[in-house]
Amino acid sequence: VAPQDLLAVVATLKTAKELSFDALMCLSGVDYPNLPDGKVGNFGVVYHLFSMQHRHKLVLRVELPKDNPSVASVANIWQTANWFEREAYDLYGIKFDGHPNLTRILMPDDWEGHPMRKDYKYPETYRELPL
Amino acid sequence: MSGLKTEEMLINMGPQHPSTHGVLRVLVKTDGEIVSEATPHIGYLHRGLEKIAERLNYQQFMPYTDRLDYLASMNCNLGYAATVEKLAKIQVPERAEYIRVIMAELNRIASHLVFFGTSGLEAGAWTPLIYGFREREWIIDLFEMTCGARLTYNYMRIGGVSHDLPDGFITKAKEFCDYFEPRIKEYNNLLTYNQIFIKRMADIGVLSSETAINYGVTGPNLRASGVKWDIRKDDPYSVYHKLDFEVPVGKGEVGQVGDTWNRYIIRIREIEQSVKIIRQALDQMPQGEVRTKVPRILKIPAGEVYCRFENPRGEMGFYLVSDGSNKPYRLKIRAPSFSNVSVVSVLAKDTMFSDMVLILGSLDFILPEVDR
Repeated sequence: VAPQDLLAVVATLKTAKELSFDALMCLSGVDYPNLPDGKVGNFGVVYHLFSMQHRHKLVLRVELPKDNPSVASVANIWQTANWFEREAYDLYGIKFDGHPNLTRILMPDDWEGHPMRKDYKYPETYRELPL
Repeated sequence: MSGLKTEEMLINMGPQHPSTHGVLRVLVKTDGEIVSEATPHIGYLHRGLEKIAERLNYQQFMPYTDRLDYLASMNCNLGYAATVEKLAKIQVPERAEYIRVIMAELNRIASHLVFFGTSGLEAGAWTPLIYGFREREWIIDLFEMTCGARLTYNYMRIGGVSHDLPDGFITKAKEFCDYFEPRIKEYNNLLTYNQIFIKRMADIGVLSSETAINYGVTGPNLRASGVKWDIRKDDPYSVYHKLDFEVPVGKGEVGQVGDTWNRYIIRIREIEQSVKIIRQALDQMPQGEVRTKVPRILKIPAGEVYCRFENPRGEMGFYLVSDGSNKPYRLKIRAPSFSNVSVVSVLAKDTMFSDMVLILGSLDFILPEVDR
């Protein structure tokens, strides 16, 4: 799914009667590797959706460029996404537009860098204390 | 009285606190005794397990899954092992599956007993804690007989369990079931239908089923809100499809559907059902091997899988992306307590402060899972 179509797709998925995906099981960020033909890998956000009524599952994947990863937030549609998106922002640096409170959730609030990225370098000091 | 200046008080229920189950910080704005806003802050126990997983082999990550939810280690072990086996298409022998189910259900009882003890403690009663932990000693003895550890077991391996049950395990397990079932009635008399307990727990923290599904709350909390959803029945894994048990759903016998008393009684009923499952599994277990041979350097073909399991706290999901090597490329652990804690800010609005403590306890979250 392309990042700009995400909101429209997701709104249909939730409300359409045959689909009615009312539970977001999991939302994770992924850092895809560089492809063998030289293209730089992207970030991805993977949504695992589930419908409680019809009992079917769906996996949505949105690929975002590494230099400015941002995608619309689905926190208004599924409130579970609120904290999952904060985690993806904290660990990967993916920005979610329209999120009510996009702050770091797991790392300390003044941490620099996004730990789960593959090119993350472990810092030497934190607030002048050696790590 | 109109000349009194009133303003909201900001209380920090800090990371070190006897009533938050772990290192959870809740910033509470109160107007006198009534809470107007409660924001949980997590991250005090973040160990970067997902990053560590990218450095280790599949087999080497198993002890880390114990420490994810140390009160239900067997369930976390099972979850991780089953996810890797699904992606690598490894078949597990049937005896190993039954042993896994027995261990998982025993651990479910142990975890719910801790919940029973701490619920009583939060309402102010000391006896349930002692009783709950005394029964739990039986279960921990069984585990220690099998794998040598009392809390974090590291018993399951990719391809089965690490070694067979010792002699005398089956007799001792049956003895435990016979000893424990009448005890549940005793605890019901002590705490569950106790008028003071009911008065404190009923009608607070009501979670409607739409809010629960929207916020991703799963497990006993969701079932207490009236939604009949149990992954062991509706999306079965391991040998649960061969076992016969019921799924308790909150009916609002005392108070409303979805309040803290319902969350409590669901877990007590689940203990009864778990004893039933253990008895059946002990009888149905076949003889055989307990572990399939898995190569030391386990390379899994590229692909991804998302599997979910019913932990005592809710739905635990493992999302595994593999790139063909012997280390996971991305392992995301979807912890049930992560979503359960996020609903605290909704539930704690406009309740009294002491009720908020009970609501935190009834959601039964555990912080290592939340933070990973």
